[in-house]
Amino acid sequence: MSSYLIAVTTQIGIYGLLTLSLSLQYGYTGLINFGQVGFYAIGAYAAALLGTALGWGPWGSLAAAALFAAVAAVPIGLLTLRLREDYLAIVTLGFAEVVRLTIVAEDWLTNGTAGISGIARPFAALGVGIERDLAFLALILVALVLVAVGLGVIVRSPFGRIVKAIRDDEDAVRVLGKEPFVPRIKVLCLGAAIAGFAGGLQAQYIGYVGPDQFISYVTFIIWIAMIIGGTRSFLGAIVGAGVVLLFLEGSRFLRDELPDISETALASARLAIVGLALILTMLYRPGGLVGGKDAR
Amino acid sequence: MTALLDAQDIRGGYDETPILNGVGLTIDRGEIVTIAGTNGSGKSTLAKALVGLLPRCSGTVRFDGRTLDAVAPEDRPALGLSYVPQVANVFPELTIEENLWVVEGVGNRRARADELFGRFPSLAERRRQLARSLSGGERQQLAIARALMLHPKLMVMDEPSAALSPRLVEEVFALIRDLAAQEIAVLLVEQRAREALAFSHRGYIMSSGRIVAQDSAAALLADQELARLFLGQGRSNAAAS
Repeated sequence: MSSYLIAVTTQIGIYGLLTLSLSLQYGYTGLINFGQVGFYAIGAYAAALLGTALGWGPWGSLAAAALFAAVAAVPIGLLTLRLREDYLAIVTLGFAEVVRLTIVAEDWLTNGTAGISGIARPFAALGVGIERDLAFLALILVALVLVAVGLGVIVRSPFGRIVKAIRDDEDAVRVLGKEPFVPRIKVLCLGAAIAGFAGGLQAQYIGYVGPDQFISYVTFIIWIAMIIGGTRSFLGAIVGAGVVLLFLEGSRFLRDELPDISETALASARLAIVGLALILTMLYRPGGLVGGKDAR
Repeated sequence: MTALLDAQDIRGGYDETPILNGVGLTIDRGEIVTIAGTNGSGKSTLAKALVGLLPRCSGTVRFDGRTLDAVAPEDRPALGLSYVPQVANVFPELTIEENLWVVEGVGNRRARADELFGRFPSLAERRRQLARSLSGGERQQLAIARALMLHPKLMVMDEPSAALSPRLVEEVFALIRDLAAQEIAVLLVEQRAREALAFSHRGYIMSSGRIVAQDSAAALLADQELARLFLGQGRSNAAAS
């Protein structure tokens, strides 16, 4: 297995986690979160800072990444989840930008645009090389499967029933005796925790974090991955992340085949094709590649 | 005997424009009360106000001996006040049995759901199917069954006959008569006013957010002038728009 393939699969795994978190929030609960990259960034910076400045081990840093992102979701939820759902969309979009700009501005903590490097990864005992990359990939894939299975259990539980009922009709849930606010905020926090965990993995995988990694582009790529894969299927979330990332990574090779086209033009063309794929999915396969049947 | 529900001077709407302009009504235990009136008269808004779902609302609602003003909508079902909305009254992406299990505050929700499946055999047969596979009449049955989960004292029903064929309307109305026979009061907001009044004890007629007439159902049906203005000309289905 070439190291390039390992790298692509690792990215797919990390984006798969992000897409899973969105699938729980949007697909199953109806929360429109346009700021998932903000929670991802908080997780990444939490892992980076704890791992470097405070010298925490990689495992503790990963756990803290999830926890920090979940805690950050609490005020967002308190502010918006009692309001109409579009408020969450706008506030999260702004929140992610605030996170990024704070990272840029607060030099003393985040080292600003220069970012933080030297973030340690687990499996240091394996040295630097393909074995360690494979071990890290295995860790990500195990996490991906555990998260997908765990979320599957959650959406089938009584809590999951309430969550799906809230998505269908909030008022109807209310007149059946359940206040929808608490379940929604739990889902927002759980999704943020997963995104934060993915951020921690990303920080450790690259070994470096910088504000440029956390632009809204990331949020929209995972939205597209979720829609293409199927919003109401956790398998779909992983498949969608795989398809979109494989295309974005794979199309880099087009560069060698089409030497006359400029780098910028090609980058734009790749995004245009992703957009086209999104439109075609919504037209011809609105349930997504793995959708159609509802994953109950 | 004091009324089960006593609402006084209910005013309010969804925004600054008031839809209800001071409505009062009472419902006794086990009584079927129909609210009739033309489209836009505020009938459904009144139903929402009683169960606490109207964003802007003033007035006093007493239910079963206590004032509901400070009681959140999600705490009203436990007091015995159930609501069956007109549209979106089942959760389409949950199975039929999950639609019943989702109700909060039932001691043993599975046992209670099984009890209700005994009363609704056609739902019981398909309990593991998604509710979106149900027809309009079956959805209405499920919505009623779900509202029964908490042993309500009063069920507020918003146009249960909407979008149903005449035969299904008859079935749903039969269900409602059956509720009253079990001492469950029903507040029925209905376009098919004549048919609903035919089995109701009393009725109110609303226009422009006010009650313009109230009487026994028989008296309302007998009043030619009211019938002409608010209940439509014909017999049976003419009142349904």
